[in-house]
Amino acid sequence: MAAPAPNADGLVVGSSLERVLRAGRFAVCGEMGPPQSCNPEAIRRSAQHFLGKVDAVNLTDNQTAIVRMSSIAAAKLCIDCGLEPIIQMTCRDRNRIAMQSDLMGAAALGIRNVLCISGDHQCFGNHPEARGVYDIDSVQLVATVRGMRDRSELMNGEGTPPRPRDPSKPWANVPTPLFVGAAANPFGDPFEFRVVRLAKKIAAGADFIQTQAIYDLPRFERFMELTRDRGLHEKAFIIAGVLPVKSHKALTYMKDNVAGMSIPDELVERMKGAENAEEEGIRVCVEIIDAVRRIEGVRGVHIMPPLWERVVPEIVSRAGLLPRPTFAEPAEVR
Amino acid sequence: MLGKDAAAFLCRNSGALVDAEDPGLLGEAVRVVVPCGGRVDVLHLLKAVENGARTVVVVACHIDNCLSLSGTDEAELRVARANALLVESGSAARCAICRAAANAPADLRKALSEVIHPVGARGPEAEEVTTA
Amino acid sequence: MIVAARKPFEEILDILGDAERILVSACNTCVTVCLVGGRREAALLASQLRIHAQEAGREIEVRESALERHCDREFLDALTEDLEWADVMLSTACGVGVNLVADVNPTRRIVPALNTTFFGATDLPGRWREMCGGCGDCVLHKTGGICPVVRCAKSILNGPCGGCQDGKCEVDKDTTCAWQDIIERLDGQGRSPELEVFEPIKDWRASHAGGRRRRIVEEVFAGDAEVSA
Repeated sequence: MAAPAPNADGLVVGSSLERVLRAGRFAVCGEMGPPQSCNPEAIRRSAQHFLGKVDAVNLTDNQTAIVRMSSIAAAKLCIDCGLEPIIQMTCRDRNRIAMQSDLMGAAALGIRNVLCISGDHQCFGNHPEARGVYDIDSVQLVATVRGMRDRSELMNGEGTPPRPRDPSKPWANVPTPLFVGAAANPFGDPFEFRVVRLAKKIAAGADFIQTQAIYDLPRFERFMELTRDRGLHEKAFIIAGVLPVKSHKALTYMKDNVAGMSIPDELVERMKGAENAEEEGIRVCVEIIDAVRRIEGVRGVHIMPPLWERVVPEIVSRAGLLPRPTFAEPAEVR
Repeated sequence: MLGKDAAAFLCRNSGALVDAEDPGLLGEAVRVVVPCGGRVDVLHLLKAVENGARTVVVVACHIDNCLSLSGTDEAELRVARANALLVESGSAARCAICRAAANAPADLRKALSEVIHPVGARGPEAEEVTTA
Repeated sequence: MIVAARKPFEEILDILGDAERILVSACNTCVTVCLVGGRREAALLASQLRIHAQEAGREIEVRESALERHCDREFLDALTEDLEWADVMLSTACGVGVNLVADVNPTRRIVPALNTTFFGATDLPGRWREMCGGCGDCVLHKTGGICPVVRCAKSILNGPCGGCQDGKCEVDKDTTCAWQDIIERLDGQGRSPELEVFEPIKDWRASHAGGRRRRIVEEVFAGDAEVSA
C-alpha cells in the first residue's frame, strides 16, 4: 500500500501545525505540563494563555518522570478548548503494544501531532524505583508512527523477519493520521554526532524537529550549519526551542542539574544584574527568538515557559509573531 | 598496657624488632610475627577477635620503609575493613595499626598511646582500643 | 562472570532468624573472583556470625564449606552431610547456586547471603562493571563490542539520547555514555558510516522478558525439557 499522497496544499495530515509550516510561515508552538492530578480545570486555565497566540501546544508526557495526567488526556481537553495539541510520547513508560494502542486512541480523539522522545530516566522523578520499559527507542518510534500513517502497518511488520500481513484485518485499511516529530539536542555530546542522529530521525520519517532550549547561540548556529550541510533543513521542519526564565536561579539550576543544556555564564550574570528580572527574562527570550528566526533552516519556535504560561502572549507579541495565521476551512486531507 | 586479651601482629622488619628491644611496650599481648604487615588478612584480624582478643594491633613499617613497597598501605585498608565488619557484627572497632621503625621504639610507644587509652583514664573499660 | 554484593549484615541476621546450626557455603568460581562469596569471604561472614553471637550471648555453631561451583549438580553431593546437620544453609554463591541447591534439596532451607546483580568483567583489580544484558540477541558486532542493552541506561539501539553531557550518562555522572563510547570506538575503527544505519526494534522474546530460558544440547540430554532436576 503506497503512502497517502499529500493533498493539493501539500498536506498529509492537516493539523494546524502542518498547515502553518507547509505554507512557509514561521510556526509558534507552546508547551504545557499537565497537572499532577486529575483536575481538568488546570488544562482549561492554562489553555487560555495560548489561544490565538500559538499554532499548537506540546503536552509533556510525565516529564522528568514525575507522574502527571497523561499527555493524551490533556491533549483532548485542549482540543475541547479550541487549542491544537502536540502529544509527547516517551519510551520510558510504555511498551510497543501500549504505544501503538495509544497512538490509535490519540488519533481517534482528534489529536494530529506527536513528538517522539526517549524520555528522562525514571531516576529523576518521583518513582525512581520504577522499572523503565524502554522496549523501543525514539528513532524506532518515529518509524513506527510513519508506518502506521503511511502504510497502515503496525510494528510487527518491521525489524523482525517479514511476516505476511492479513489483508482481511479491518484496522489494516485505516491509516493513523499523525504529524510526527522528534527532538534534537544541539547541546548534548558528542556534538558532531548530534547531527548524525538528527539525520537518522529524519530518515526514519520525522516531519518536524523540536530542539532543546537554546541559550548558546553560537553553538546552535554551528549545529544549524552542519544540519544545512546535509540538507536536513529541507527534509524536516526544524523548530527552535526557547525557555523564558524569570530569575538567574532558574538558569543556574538548569546549568547544574539538567542534562544536555548549555548556558553561557554571561547570561546568568545578565539575569543576576537585572533590575527587573522578569522583564529581563522576557527580553532575553525575545532576543533569542529574533536571532534564531534569522538562521536559515529554522522554521519555527517552540516556547517552553515553565510555570509561567501567562508570559507567552507578551513574548509572542514582542517577537512580532502575532497574529497567528488562521485557516478559513478545515483541511480536507482524506 | 596490653593484657593477655590483646593480639599483636608484628612485621618482622619493624614491629618484631622493636618488641625484642622493649617487650614492655606490648605487654602480655599474644604476638604473631608476619613477614610483612601486608600479609595480615582481614580474616586473621577477625579470627583474633573471635578467639577472644579485645584489642588487635598491627605493627608495620612506616609507609616509605616497607620492603614490599605497599604492605603497610594494604595493612591499613585491611584494618579499616576488619573494623567495619566488627562494628557490623555488633562488636567494636577493635583493630588498630601502628607504624614503627626498628631503631625507634619511641615511635611505637607514641603510636600505641594514640590508639589505646591508658588504664584508669576512663575507667575499667578503658583497656579497649578505640580507633575513632 | 556473575557479580554480586553481600546483603547487609542486618538483613542476613533477619533471614537466619533463630537458626543455631548454620552452614555457610562458598563457591570457588564467579563470586570468588569478584571477592564476595569465595572461601575467604564465607570465612569472614562465618566469623562475623560467631562474633555477633558471642556479643549477644547466644550459642550457635557455624560450619564452613566450599564447592567448586554451585551451578553444577555434580558438585552438590558434597553438601549432603552438612545439610543434614544444619538448620539452614547460608549460601555465598550467586542466585543461580541458591536456586539449584534448593531445587536439589527441596526439604532443606537454603538462603542467600548475596544480592546477585550483573554479568560483568574485572576491568581493573577490585572493579567489576556490567557488560552484558543476556538479551539473547547480541548486537555487539554492530556496536564495537559495547553492549547498548545494559551499558545504556535506556537500552537505546539508535543512540545517544539528549542527556549525554561531557560524555557522561544523565543517570550517573560516574558512568560514561555508552553511545558516546560506541561512536568513538567505531570512529576509531573507521566504521562511522555504520552508525547511520537504522537499528530496527528488538525481539525481546529471547531475553528474560520471554519467560524462563533454557538451553538443551540433544547429544547429551535426551530427557524432558521441563521436568525438575
